[in-house]
Amino acid sequence: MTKYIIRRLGFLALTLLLTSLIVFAVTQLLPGDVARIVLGREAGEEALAAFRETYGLNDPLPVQYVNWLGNFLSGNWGTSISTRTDIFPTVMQRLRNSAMLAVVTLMISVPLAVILGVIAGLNEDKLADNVISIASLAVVGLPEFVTGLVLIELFARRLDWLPANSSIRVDATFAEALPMLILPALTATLVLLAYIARLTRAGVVEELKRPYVRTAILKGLPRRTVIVKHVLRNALLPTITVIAISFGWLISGLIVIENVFNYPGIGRLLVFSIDRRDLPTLQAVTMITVLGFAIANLIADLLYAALNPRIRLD
Amino acid sequence: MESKPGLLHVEDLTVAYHTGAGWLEAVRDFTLTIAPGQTYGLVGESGSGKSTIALTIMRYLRNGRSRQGAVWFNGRNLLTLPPHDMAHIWGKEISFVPQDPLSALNPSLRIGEQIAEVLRQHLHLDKKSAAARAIALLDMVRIPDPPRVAASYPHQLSGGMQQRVMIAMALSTEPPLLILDEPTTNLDVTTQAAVLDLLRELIAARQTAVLYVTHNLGVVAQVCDRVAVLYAGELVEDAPTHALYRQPLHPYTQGLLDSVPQLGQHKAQIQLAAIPGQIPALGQRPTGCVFAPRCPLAVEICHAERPFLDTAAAENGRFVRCHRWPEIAAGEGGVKKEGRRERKREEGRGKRRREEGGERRDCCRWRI
Repeated sequence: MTKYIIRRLGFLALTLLLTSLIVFAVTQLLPGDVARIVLGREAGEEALAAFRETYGLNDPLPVQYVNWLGNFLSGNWGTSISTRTDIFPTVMQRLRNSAMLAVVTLMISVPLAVILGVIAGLNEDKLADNVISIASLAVVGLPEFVTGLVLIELFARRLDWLPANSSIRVDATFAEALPMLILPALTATLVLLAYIARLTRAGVVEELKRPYVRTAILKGLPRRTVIVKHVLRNALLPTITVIAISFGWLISGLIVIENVFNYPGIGRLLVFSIDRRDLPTLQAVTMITVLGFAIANLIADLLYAALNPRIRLD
Repeated sequence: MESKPGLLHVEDLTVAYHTGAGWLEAVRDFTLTIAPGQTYGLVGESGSGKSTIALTIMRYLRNGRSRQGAVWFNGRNLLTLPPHDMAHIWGKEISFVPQDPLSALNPSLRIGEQIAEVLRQHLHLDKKSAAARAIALLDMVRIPDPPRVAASYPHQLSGGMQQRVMIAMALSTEPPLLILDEPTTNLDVTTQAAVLDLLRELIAARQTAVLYVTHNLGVVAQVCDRVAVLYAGELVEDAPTHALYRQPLHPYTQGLLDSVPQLGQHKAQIQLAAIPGQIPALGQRPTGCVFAPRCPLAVEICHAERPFLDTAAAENGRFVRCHRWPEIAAGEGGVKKEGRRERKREEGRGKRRREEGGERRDCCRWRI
């Protein structure tokens, strides 16, 4: 197990190294002169040259890359071109916000999706299954900005239960932020729900056919024990993996939802930095996004291995 | 409560499966009585309905339905029992050991827990004593290093060990009836022999009644007091094992025995006889005797009229479903010899390798 984890961490480092190369290369390819973008149209040639000298823009590309990577790894992510503030604390703040939203989303979507999936799976091709399957399919087909706006219209404007705007304060605690998190979390839930529920349903349907279920029933165990202890233990393995992976998406992939609700997460920072051609911020956000996905995948694999005794890790 | 003979009395059972072509009868008018402590072999080819009968007795038939008859167990008809009550019979009164132990064990639960949960459920043991008892049961089925095996997962054990675990689990509550559905079929020959020895010993020590479902007459001879021979869903012969082997009264049983090599024969002398033709498909049952199309002794009446299950010898309980059994029993008019010779001439050309007790499954052209 330890050997496996070390190997996987090695892969993780390699992935990040490759990503950093790509991120660096892409930002070099972008049109426009960084010095010109930063200093503005009216800057004189002298000022531009001085800027390039200060930020090492005249160095050969490999040197620039190594300097950039070294700075990134030591937490020295530079200053935002557009806001003139340190990038590192900003990204960390946004990361915290995104993580809060992700946790609330999972707290709503996972129990709901798993329960619906199990009910559908246990009633394969019966009414409950058909209703759940069709309803979840219908919902998953809607884009997030539609469901988000419908939820705002319903819960914020008509019922006035929850705020429509989720622009939380920078230093808001989890408890303070919670009311503002619910609507964006619900919107993300509607995206995840059908996926997780259908996967759970498929797992339950498949496992119910296995002979060990017959053994468990013919042992005289109560139905609840057969389902919870025997069937779900095996049926939920793929579901758990997908939930872990979806955490990566929740951290950095909620670009539309964060913008609809004006929520200061990583996704909004990404759009913001693209808008402003804020290359240092864009690089940092991209690296964090990749890191989030990679770690979520690693956790998914480790969880799967830990829960499934048939997987041998060495 | 009606008084019914034996521990288990299957009465006139007919089981049908629903298919695209309507209801097809897989088992027809099946009757069987198992006394307490008796070991019964239920023998038939693939598709003869033997597993259907086993699962009907357990009341665990997936697509099929019993359309007629009853399964009396300790005076209660299991087929009309409320489903909830079956949970008190499953694992406590009747245990089931299936064919493939690996898929029958939960892949992600430890062996010890899979046994212990039965003990907690039916014997109401607490967690600790159930775990200890599970280890003792593993020792009983002669598994080396029981504590280690109890902490293992099914895929870490060999096929023989897995089946021993299933047997330990089945006997853990000391049930009065054990149903074994081809428990050794997927094991290699030496493992099969060891598991059979173990089974025989455990059964003898506890006076457990057994219904042993198999296609292997050699196994039946080793384990069972009585044999019921099934053909195309019908009971064709039911007799004490030794009597059946000494003098089979149904031509099908004769064919079965002829297609198994005798112990002690030299391989050069063996001519195994296969029965020509094949088992009729469901829904294509002949009007007369089900075996008539393949029977070397069939005469006009056999094709026209379905024979009933006749009592051949009342004192030891021999039953046979054949119009011509009295002639076969008496050996009259060369019925028996002629018939068997004729069949050999037609089909028994191949010389087959000898395998002790007919263990090899492919030793004849069709599987018994």
